[in-house]
Amino acid sequence: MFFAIMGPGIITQSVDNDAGGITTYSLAGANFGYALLWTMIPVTIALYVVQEMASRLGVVTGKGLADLIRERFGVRTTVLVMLVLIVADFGNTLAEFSGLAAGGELFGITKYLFVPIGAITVWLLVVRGTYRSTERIFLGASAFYVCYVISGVLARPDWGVVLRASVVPSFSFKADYLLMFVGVIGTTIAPWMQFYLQSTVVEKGIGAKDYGYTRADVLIGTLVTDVVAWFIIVACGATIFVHHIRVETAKDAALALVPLAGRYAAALFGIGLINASLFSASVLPLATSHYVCEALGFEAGVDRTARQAPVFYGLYVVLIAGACAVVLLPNAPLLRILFLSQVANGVLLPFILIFMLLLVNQKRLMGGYTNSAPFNIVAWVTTIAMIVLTLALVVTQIVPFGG
Amino acid sequence: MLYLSQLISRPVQDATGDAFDRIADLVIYHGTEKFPKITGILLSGDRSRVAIIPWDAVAAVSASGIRLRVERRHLTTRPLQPDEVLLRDNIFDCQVVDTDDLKVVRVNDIELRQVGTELRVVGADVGTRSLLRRLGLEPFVAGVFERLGRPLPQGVIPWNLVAVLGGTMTPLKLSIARAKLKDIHPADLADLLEELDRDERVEMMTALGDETAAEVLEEAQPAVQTTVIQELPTERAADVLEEMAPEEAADVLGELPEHRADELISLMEEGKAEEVSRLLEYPPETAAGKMTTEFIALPETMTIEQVLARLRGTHPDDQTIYYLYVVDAQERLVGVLSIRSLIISPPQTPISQVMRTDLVYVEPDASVDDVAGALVKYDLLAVPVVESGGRLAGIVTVDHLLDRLLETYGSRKLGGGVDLLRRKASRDAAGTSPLAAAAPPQADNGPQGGSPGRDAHTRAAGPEVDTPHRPT
Repeated sequence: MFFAIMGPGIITQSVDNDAGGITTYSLAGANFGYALLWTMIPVTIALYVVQEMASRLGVVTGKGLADLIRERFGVRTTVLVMLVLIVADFGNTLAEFSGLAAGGELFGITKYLFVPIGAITVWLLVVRGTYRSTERIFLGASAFYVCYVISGVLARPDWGVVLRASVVPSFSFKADYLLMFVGVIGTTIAPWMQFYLQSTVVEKGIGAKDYGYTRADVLIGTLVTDVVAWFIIVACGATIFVHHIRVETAKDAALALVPLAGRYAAALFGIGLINASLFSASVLPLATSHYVCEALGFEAGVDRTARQAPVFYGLYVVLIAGACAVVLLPNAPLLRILFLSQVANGVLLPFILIFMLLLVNQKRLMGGYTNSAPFNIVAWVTTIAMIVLTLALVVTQIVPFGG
Repeated sequence: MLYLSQLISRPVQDATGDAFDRIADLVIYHGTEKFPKITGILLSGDRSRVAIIPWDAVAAVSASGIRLRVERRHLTTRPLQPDEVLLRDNIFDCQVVDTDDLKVVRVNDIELRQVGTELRVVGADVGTRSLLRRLGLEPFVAGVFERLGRPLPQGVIPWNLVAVLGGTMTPLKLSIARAKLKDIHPADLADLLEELDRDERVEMMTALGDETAAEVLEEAQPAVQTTVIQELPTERAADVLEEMAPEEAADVLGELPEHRADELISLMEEGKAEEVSRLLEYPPETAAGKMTTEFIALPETMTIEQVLARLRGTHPDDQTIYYLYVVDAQERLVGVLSIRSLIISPPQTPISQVMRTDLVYVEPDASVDDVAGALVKYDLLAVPVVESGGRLAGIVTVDHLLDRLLETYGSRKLGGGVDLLRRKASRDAAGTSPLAAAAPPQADNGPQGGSPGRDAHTRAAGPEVDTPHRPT
């Protein structure tokens, strides 16, 4: 029954809570306590607005985002956007395999064994077409996030402080804070999600009639993701931050689950991390190859042979093998990779948002379904805020400010 | 040779030589011409109003722009006609169907040929070369590849082999789409359907006749079937479902939301609607859920001659003719008559004398795997489904089951890699009818006779089949 009501919105959000997401929220709580909790409310609003736009574009036009960008803005723009997407998603793929490596290490399995096995598993799941049947297992295992909710409660944070921190904004121009800020937004509102959600809406053939349902689905997905994110930050703030532990490895990040799982916290965290990584690694690189090929007119799809769709398979292999190669470098800083890939998502997000906004406001394309003024305001503010934050980030890297 | 990408944004001069605007788009009349003429220009300044300058006003055209034969102030514009298409807006960068290679392709550029002042569309450029041209990298990259001894191919599809779908549907546009798609095998159309966008799918399914549309839908993936039925106007969807085999229609309807399924069934012709509703009652993953109620049941009192006369009168489907089931007065299955016996027996022979009575059948609640096992083990093209009272309820054909089994076991590759050349060759050989070249399955196998085809089944299966005997 649960699976029957799961729409594109909820599925997209489940893939979104990937290894990069868990890590970024964990680091946010572990390094800054509750200082970033207030971002959750504006981020949730922005996420809903952006995702609603993506699904509306899909419902009204019946086309994917990459297709629309190609048809409305031509080859040059498309190539630029696709490059942005490839860079962001290479980062995400890196994050998924780092998550696998870190998860394996929690069980004492060396990454030199675990990552290649993970890559082969992903390949088989996808190319053998068994992914559809495993999707439910992944989704079911996503219930792991409930652990953070329970652990957050069991950690007995000072709820007064937590709630205050959730609604009262605070800000700092320190480079670390800005980096984390961009990372949190980047992992919550990732560029690939907009492509993925819109394609899923199109594939399901959702028409304007059922749109109300999809809107609810997107809203639920958004809320669930951000409630989970909020609890991860709270749990880490109440456990890791208060003890001034510097999070260097996945083992440290797992401490947030100690109030719930005690000495099994590392194992629980490991399973969650591995599941999230495998899930997203099965979806993301493949989806990326699809969008790029469809937009540029190359054949795509796992029902083609490598000879029929060389660009599709080539890009897919490069994404996976490249990510594995980086992760397998000796002493690769796994958590750092996980986190920085999400910052990259945040930095690249405005590129995608601008084109979405231009598309969704085209009367000829959308008819009566163009953006309302509040939606435009929220989306443009998000876009501009991300650009400003990125610039601020660059500046602080050059000129240490107040640090 | 001119390309649309070279003309866009080029200056337009009037008779006085004043370059007053730029080319935003070119217009073609989407008619029956193989290589349509450009009928008008849309200037950047007129883009929002879609005001077209008729092509008669053109004095000269080249890669550096267009010169008009009139002065700017004497120019008259007209609105876009219903059957006119804007090349850049509606075709450039969009998907079209390559009706020769049977692929959905994206148009990177449009090739134009100039005869005097007349300009015609001659091809859709879908190759990598045109992609590079749009990026301004063609000379460089093409040069590199040439030096490597592997020059980049052109990748131009002649315009007469291009089918443009999507956009506004006019009667003329639909009839052209129908003409372009008519020689493509329904199974190939189903593959194309899967790759098209929503509007293009709707246009394809609208352009095709009810019967072809139904065949195409039968061949499509279940996910595509449901979305297509959801996307089509309700009346049309009901018409297509009506033409589909009842078990296929039931499969599609079973995947739809209940209210939608009921709505569609209520619009179907009464007999068909009843049959489909009945099939919908059965659990989908059983013999009864997969069976078709279209089969040939002959009263046991008939003679060979009467059977032949009846078959000639009723034109049964190619799917169902291979087995002629014999029933008694209570519709209970008593035997099966092979085509072989039908042909070699004297006309006056009662069929009860030549039919086989040692039957392989399955019960309505048998699992799909068991049914598949029975078909595989006994090399059957179809297996009858018999209720506990002995009544013949329907048959499950190997054809219907095969699609489902391949899906379950994820072997879409089997279809994806199928040799296009062979299909194309058969299309060419067959001339107008792609079906003519399709090899019919051997028709004279009895239910337990030889092999039904080249398919060497190796899958082990242990079906629960009631007392199979070898024929004597």
